[in-house]
Amino acid sequence: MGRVSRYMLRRPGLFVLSTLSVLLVGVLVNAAVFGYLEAVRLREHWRERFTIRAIFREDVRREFMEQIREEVARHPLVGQVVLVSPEEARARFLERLGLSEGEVAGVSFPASLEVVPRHVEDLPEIAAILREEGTFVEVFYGGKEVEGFLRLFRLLLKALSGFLLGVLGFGVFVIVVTTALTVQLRGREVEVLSLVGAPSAFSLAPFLFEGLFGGLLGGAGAYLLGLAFFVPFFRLVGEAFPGFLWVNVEELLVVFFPLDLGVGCGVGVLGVLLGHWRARRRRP
Amino acid sequence: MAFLEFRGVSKVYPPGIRALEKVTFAVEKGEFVFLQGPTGAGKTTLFRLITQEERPTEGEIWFSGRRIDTLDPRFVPFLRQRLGVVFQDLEIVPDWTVYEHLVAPLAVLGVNGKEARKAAWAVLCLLGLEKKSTFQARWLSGGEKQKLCIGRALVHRPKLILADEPTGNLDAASAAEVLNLLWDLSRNERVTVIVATHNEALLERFPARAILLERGRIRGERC
Repeated sequence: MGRVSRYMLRRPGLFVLSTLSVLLVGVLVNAAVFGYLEAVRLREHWRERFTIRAIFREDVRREFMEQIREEVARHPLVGQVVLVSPEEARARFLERLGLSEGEVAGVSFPASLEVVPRHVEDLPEIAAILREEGTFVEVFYGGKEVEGFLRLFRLLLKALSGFLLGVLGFGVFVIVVTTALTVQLRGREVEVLSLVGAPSAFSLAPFLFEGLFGGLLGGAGAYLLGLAFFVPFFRLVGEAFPGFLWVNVEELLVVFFPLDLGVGCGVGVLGVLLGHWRARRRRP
Repeated sequence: MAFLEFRGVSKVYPPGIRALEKVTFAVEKGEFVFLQGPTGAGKTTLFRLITQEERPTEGEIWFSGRRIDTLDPRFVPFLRQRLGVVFQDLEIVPDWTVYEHLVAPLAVLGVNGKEARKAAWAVLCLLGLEKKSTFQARWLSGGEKQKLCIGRALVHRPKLILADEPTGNLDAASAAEVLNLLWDLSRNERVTVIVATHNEALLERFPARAILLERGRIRGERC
């Protein structure tokens, strides 16, 4: 440990810079995770709200309806399928409108399939498949508002994917910059140790400890920043928009803790390994 | 078998620069040998082949009964631990202290702290650097850096010392002092020493064997 602390104290600027880079990556990862968890929560919520209703033709037999239901249930995009019989449809209608049997005498209630997709954005695709089936008179899942909502949701997903890619790119950039700096400033030490007969593990060990320590410190910093930001944030938005489906802050922080430390250590160790490898390659 | 032996060794650098060509010689244990030749003769390349920083294009290199030119890269550190090398470009870390430089080869060998301190201090005294032990290498003069590099090559008591222009940055008195030190090591402790130099005057002062290298070929020997 003496060697490690000596190296760190000798190059405090490099150590601080690496730690801050890891912290920044951690903060971005936290933001991406928050976005992802929020999107998953909203998707789950909307998935249950948006159901495709496919009305069977009146001449379709009950066994065939069951067969169709099983086929639809096997489709990978489909989450849940319920066959609603004419009797059940009538009962629901009466219950919803508070009517009696006599008031709807003579009105026919066709059987239908209620299809809940695995992901809300798959609604149009499943609906299109059902329309091609030919056994349904009508397939619907909402009007233009739903289409608009789905467009917005897809846009959000794309933006989130772009952001995640950006975070990944930034992480790679940080590793490359830290590595280049390490090679520039520490490469000489690795080279000299190699020339006096130090095996790779010997020269790597202090840098690895330093990378791990810096990574842990950066990761812990990112977690603490997350804590300092999200706790008041959720309190504030919870009061301002009480009906909105916000992610549970405790759940979020439980995810952040191992993730930030893991990402921190990962980035730190990866940077050190790359730097060490390049230095050893420069002077074998 | 000789302690160190080159058998028809050639080294060609891309794109076809012939640094060494069919070099054959042998050095016995405890021998003191000068490798003399002008700049660009291939002296440093020859040393780099021994330390396995480079691999020969053809030929065989034997050290202490083992062929080292085909050595598995995993074992190269163990070979280097048995060598003491004074590099032409010194290879020091500017922000390491003098003491840290001397302790590094011992730490690599796993010598314990107390013994390492003792050995490092002995070398510091031998080279007259004891007052500079806590100085960072960047603050040393050219001659002191050279001495430091020599000290690092001696401290772990290797069986073969390769000194590439070890007196290049030293004044005449210090150069004589350093060469006397290497000469005594060879004579008294049977350490094999190979000194690469372009300085012909040095050869006159020491009655040692000299291998004359020119344009990568051995042009002759003086015994």
